[in-house]
Amino acid sequence: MTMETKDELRQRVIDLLKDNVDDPSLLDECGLDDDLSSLGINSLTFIKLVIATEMEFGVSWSDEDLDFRNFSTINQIMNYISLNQGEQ
Amino acid sequence: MDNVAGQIFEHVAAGRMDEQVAVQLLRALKQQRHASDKDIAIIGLSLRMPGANNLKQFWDNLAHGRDCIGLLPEARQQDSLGFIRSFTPLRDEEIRFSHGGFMKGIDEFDYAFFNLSPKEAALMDPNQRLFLQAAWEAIEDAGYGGSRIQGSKTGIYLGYADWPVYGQYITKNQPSQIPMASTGNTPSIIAGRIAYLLDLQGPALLVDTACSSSLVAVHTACMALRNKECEMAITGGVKVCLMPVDGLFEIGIESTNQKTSAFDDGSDGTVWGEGTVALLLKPLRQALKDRDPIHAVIRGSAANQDGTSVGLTAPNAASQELLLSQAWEDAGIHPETIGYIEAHGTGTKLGDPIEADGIKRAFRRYTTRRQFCAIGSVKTNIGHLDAASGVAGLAKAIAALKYKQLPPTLHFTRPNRNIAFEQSPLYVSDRLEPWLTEAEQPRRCGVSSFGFSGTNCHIVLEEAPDELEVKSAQRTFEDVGASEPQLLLLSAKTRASLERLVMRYAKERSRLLQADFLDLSYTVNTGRGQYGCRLAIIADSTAGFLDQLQWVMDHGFASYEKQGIYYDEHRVVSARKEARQNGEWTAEELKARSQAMAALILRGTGAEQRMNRSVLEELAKQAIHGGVVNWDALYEGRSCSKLHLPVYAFEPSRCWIELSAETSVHAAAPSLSVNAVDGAGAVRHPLSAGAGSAASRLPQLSGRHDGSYTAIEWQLAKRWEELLGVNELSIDDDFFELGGNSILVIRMEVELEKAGISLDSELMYRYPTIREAAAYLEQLPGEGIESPRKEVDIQSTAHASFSKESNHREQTALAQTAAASELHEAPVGIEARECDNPSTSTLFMLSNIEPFNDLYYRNCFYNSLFPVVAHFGGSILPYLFNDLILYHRGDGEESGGYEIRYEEIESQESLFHQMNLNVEAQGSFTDTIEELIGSLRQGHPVIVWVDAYAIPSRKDVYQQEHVDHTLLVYGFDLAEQCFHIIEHDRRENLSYKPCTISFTDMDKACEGFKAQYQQLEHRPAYYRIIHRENARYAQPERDALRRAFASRQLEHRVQLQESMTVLQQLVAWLKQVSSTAKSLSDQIDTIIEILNQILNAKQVEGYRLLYLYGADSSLLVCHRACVEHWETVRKGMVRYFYAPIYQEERITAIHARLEHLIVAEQKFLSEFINQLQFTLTHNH
Repeated sequence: MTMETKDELRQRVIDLLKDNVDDPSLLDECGLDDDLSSLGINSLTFIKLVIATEMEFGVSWSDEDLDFRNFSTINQIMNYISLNQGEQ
Repeated sequence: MDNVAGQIFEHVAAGRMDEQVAVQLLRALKQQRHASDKDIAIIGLSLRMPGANNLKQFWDNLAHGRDCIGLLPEARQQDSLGFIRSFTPLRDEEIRFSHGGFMKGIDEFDYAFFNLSPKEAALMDPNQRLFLQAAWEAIEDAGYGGSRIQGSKTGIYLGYADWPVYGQYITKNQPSQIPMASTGNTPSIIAGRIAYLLDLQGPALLVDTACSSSLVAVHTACMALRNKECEMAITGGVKVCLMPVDGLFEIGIESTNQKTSAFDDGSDGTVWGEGTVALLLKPLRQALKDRDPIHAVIRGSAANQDGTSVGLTAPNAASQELLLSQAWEDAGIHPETIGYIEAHGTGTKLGDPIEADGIKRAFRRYTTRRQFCAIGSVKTNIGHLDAASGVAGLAKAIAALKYKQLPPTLHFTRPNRNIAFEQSPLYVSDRLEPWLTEAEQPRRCGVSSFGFSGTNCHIVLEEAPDELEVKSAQRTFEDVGASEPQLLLLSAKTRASLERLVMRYAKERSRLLQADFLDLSYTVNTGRGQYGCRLAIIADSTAGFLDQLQWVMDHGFASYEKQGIYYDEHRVVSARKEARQNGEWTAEELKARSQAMAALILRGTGAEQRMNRSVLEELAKQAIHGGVVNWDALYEGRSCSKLHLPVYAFEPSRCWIELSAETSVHAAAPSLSVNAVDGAGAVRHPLSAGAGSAASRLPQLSGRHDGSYTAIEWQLAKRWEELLGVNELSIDDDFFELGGNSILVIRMEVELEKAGISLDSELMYRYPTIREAAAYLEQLPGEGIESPRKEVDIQSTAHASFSKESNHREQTALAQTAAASELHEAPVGIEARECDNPSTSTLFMLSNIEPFNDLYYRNCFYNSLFPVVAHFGGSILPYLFNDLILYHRGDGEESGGYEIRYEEIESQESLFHQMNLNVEAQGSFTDTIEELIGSLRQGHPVIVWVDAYAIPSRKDVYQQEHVDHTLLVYGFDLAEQCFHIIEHDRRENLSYKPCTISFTDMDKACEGFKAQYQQLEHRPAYYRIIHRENARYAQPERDALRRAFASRQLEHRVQLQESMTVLQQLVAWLKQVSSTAKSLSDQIDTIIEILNQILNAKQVEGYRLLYLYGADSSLLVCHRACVEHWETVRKGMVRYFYAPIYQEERITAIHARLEHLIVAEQKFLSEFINQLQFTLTHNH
């Protein structure tokens, strides 16, 4: 898998989020380190996001390792993906 | 009758009648003539059984072979603890609740319907309450509701043999309540009260022969009818188990495996059960003449005794043989025509063979045929109902005759080795079979019930005469006016009851569609009472009528004149009442209205037989406003039959003895002489009398515009509240309508006397309202404290000083109640009051209202309530610490049925009271916007029920999905036309924040709730929260909370441990349904729902522990482990929800987690209990 630039990764994450929250327009105001719970992401939609991420980026997490905190901001999601892509 | 036959022949001869029809009529006539004078028709039936609230549900259970035995439902365990603690030496942890056939909701009773006070109802034995409602239903089922049965020579024969528990509990623990509890706990008054309420003039008595009581009661009723001791008879039985604990009340015939396996070789006894059946009986001949609906016919019966048998309680085959043969002779039938015997069948190794032997010997007197008669026992489905077991069997037999099928008896695998079925006339009915008979031969069966006392009874039943034949015989020369419009009036005492009644019609639609329209309207109108909430329908056909009911259910209870639908509510009020509300009429006005209607009917019928539609419309409009329709005039000259139609839907109000309200004997014991002389005592006593905590509370009084009430009115109200248990009173409420009676009137006189007020009980009848009684007392010289005795001076001094003190209290009470009563009484408007700012401003918000987002506790109501508690300076902690949090499994649900239950230890009311809050639940809005504004102006925040579908700020469901939900309304803005509310933007997301909603949307949201949810069940529309400002309030302290929490949780240790058992079942269920892709997909929604509930509850648990024991406690570590396991399980399940790909390894991982989880939860529970015990022993 080719490594992508940070900008590309960010755009893909934002697109992913847009597809998975109730009100995508809120994302435009959302900074990279802002808490995503303001988008209405709760423990349930979090899993939805995880699954979408797994499918988009070809990674896979076991349920045991999933931690909501890794998905609380855009930057954290990006880090988490990079970390796991590297491992695989 | 010969005359009728003659007429038929003449009609045929003259060519006016079809021959075919004539033959049918003559055959029906013949049937009538054959009705022997001995035959008794069962025309009304009502039952409640384990798992069934009516005959149809009961039959459904029988036909499907359901075993309705289960563990005593948890809600009922609570209610039974007081009795167990009081009467047994068991410690809580030793209590093992029994398995049995248990009813639900034995605490529910519509006290208001029967004009009883909530207090008296709560003190009444549930047996009495249940049978009262059952008898009422049976009467309506026969079409004899309302005034039709009143004044008739109807007898009451109830089989009853209970060991008194409820009344004895009162004797032991609340002796001061004995006077009020006396009638409700005297068994003979179960029968007497029914006779009293309905003015029935036949004998009313109880029959006690132990297990056979109820069947013997039916037999006795039949004998009385034959002897013309009465014209109709109410009969039946009732049984509830108040202390179903293993090892108690056992008589040695109990099964060890919680199954009753009658006639099976493995049988080892019976399981106990509960139920009630009420029947209305009448001689068949008269029933046919009166065109009554008939369930079945009792052809004959017999009762006898074992005499000196092997042992006092041992059965005797020879007596049973004789009994059956007597019953058959009495019925005048050949035993070969009997297709089924409902046996006593207790499922004991020795009893069953004796019973089978007795039956065989009886048959052998008449026939040598083998295996032609089926046998079964309803005890295998619902257990042994003790005194009510006979009527339970009878009900089963009636159902089998009606549905023309033989139901299976359960748990029969191998015949009892001591019964030679092949040689006998009997075979065990072990599967559902059609019940076939030879041509023209009516189905017949027998029902046996044998008493532990030695008294046996057997009844021979036959199916009801063919309805069609009877009908064609009855509707002789009438033009069957199919499309003739009819007025039909359905009514109830409360709107919720009426709504449920309408629902019952909808549920029975397919059966009712068969009903003849004229008969239907006749029964609806003449077979029921006319109550305050009335729905009048003008319909053209049965189907049309049912469609119109559906319309009302879909569109809400209101008038839709174009559709021929009229709805309104009314109540009768005293002419002295000021400021009457809509729908309040005096008796005089209603009488005038009824007279006008009678004239209208006369005019309408004058010209032609049929009512013209405009007359019906006028009648409908008058009827919903309380006019009484003279139905007899409307149906004069018509021959109509009564039908079995849905019966009154009682309010399921909880009535149960306060298990915690043990009052000191001395405090409440009347000691007149002391109080009369001791002036000071008389001052204090009146306010401290009554049940413990309620000591200084004044009732909520309403009824006067300015909200001011005199000292005497307060005094009277206080007494009313104590005696009747009603805490919201209007000064225009009638003492007797609230449940006052001749005994209470005398107590009232005594209580008032103690308070220095002399009001003769006779005068209470003349002045039955607070307003009238107070007016009378106030016009007396010396304000009603006139007494010829010496103590006059002391008393009046006492009274004067009391008045002073109470005046002072009044100031505060007034401030609160005035506002409340104004809202009640005045046509609501935003009238400006000059002295008061909130009442004039156009923008108003309560201060310090902060959203509560720490937890999602139980449901959205609490997230709406907590900001209010904080606003008034209270603490929410007592709420959070109040519950037992339990894993729970509801019974009967097909998909698991698991849930988290928050079982309140203290009642909500009591918690509200501690916070000095009055939470007033209101059933409906008259004008949503104005009522909300009015309440806010007075400083009372409101929690409203809404349908979130209509709330724009709800991103998840707005215009998409209906969700019942609460909003906290804490301000308004007239300029912007909006309310300030606290709301979250999506479900179960802790994002509650202040926002606004327009008046229009609020109105829609409330209306939406009404249409979507209130139609289906009785729920409040909103709660107004009123703070008692000057009441004392102490913030709870951590140590005190810790101790209280520990002792309460420990008290319910048994339940906590049972919760673990349920958890294990839940885990097993989760594993099972997740073991295949299909079942997982089917159940995934349910699974996620329960997991969400669990995690929310875990959060509450965590919050509690953190507060009580700090972040470092080892308990919290155990708790976190549980939470982590649950979260992982939920992740896995939610993953499947969003991406339904079944991956074995993920499921295996989930299953492993579930195993860890059980261990972690068990560890947590034991640590928890240790910690609680430590708290109690070491924390002072």
